[in-house]
Order: sequence, then structure tokens, then C-alpha cells
Amino acid sequence: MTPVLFLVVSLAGGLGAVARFAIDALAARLVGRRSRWGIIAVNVTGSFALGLVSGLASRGIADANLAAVLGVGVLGGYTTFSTAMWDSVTLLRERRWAASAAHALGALIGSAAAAWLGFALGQG
Amino acid sequence: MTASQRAATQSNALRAGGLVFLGGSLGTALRALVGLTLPVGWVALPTLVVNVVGAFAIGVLYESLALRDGRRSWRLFLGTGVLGGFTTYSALAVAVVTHGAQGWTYGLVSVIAGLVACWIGAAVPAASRAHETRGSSGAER
Repeated sequence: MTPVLFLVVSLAGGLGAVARFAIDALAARLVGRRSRWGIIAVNVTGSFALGLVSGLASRGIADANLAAVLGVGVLGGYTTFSTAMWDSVTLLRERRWAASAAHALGALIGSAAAAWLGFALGQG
Repeated sequence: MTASQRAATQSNALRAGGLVFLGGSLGTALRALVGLTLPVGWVALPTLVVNVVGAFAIGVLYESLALRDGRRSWRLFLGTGVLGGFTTYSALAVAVVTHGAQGWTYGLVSVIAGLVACWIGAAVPAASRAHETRGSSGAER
């Protein structure tokens, strides 16, 4: 990876993170307090998008550099595993076992399903 | 809201966005470096590594900030920014659905390891604080 591409990928990740922050804030405003749904929505939509990019790339349609900027950069910065884990662990520490399991597994299945759909669409 | 309240809110939002952008860029750079350094290995090893390390780190960070009534700026920069940028759910999701059965094993391993790592991370701040204040009768959280 060239230094320029590395820089662009990194800054693109910064933009993705800001988009996540905005959506999470919007979700909090809609619900009235901080909600786990904001990050779930971000991760599911981001996984769909990366599935799409990957599907297109597998057909040789996407430019490799663009795929890196969008995939590693924007969508890598947009989606987050750490915050999702914190939310699941918070439920565990509140002894809400079922809610925690539903949150952790639901996020995985939901994001995977979205990625699968995006990939299928990308593959045409 | 008065005009000056609106201006203050906008300036706060801009500042928050700036912290998230800087942190997110840094976290993404680190993740990209890991991807360039580690082999793909089992399914998507670099992604697993950044995610589990990031989950541990956010446990330490958020619990530490909560215990010390830490500043929002640190949460925004290090948490939302750096760790949010460092870890990725999209790469995990795509890896899960593009590697057959192995992919689902990878996904479950990622989530379980992530939960455990985050849990352990969250236990660190209180444990290290209890260790510091010797003689205290082991006040458990």
C-alpha cells in the first residue's frame, strides 16, 4: 500500500467514524436516551455495504484502491466491534443474561445476513 | 434556544466531531497496519486480533472513565474515535458469510472472545484501584 493510499484510507476511516457518531446521536435523540439500536443500525448497514463492495470486487468490477478506501477505510471506521461488545457486556454486568445473549448473537446474525445480501447483490 | 445557545451547541458538536474524526483516523491507520503486518491466516486473523484487542481496551477505557467521572473528550477521542475506528464489524460480517461453515465458527469465536476480553478489560480499573489503596477491606464492585 502506498503512503498516500494509507493516508486516504485512514482519513476515510475518520469520516466513517463521524458518520457512526452522528447516527448514534440521532438514535439517542429519537429514543430519548442513549440506545443500543444506533450502533446496531450502523453495523448492519455497514456490513451490507461492505458485502456489496466485496461482491463487486469479486467480479473484478471495483477498483482495488477504491475498495480499500471504502472497505478498510470508510466502512471499517463506520462499523465498530468494540462498542457493540461494551453494550453486550453492560447487559451482562446488569445480570440481564438473555438480553445480553440476544444482543450479541442478534448483532452477529443481523450483520452477517446484511453482508450476505450485499454480497449477493454485488455478485449480480 | 437562544442564538448564543445554538452557537454553543454547534461549536460543541463540531468539537466532538473533530475528536471522533481524529481518533477514527488514527484507529483506522492502526487497523490498516495490522492488516498489512499479519497474515490472513485462519479466515481473517487480522480482523479477529484488532477486534478482541479493541474490545479489551474499550472495557478498560469506559470503565476507567466511569469510575473516575472522566471527561467526555477522552471518551469521544479514544472510545468512539480510536477504538471505534480500530475495530470493525463489517469485515467480521463479510468474513462470516464468505467462508462457509468455518466462517460461522470464526464469527462465534470472535463474539465470545470479544465478550470475554471486554469483560476482563472492564474489571481492570477497579482491580488496579483496589490494589492501589492498600489496607482497604477489598471493596468489591
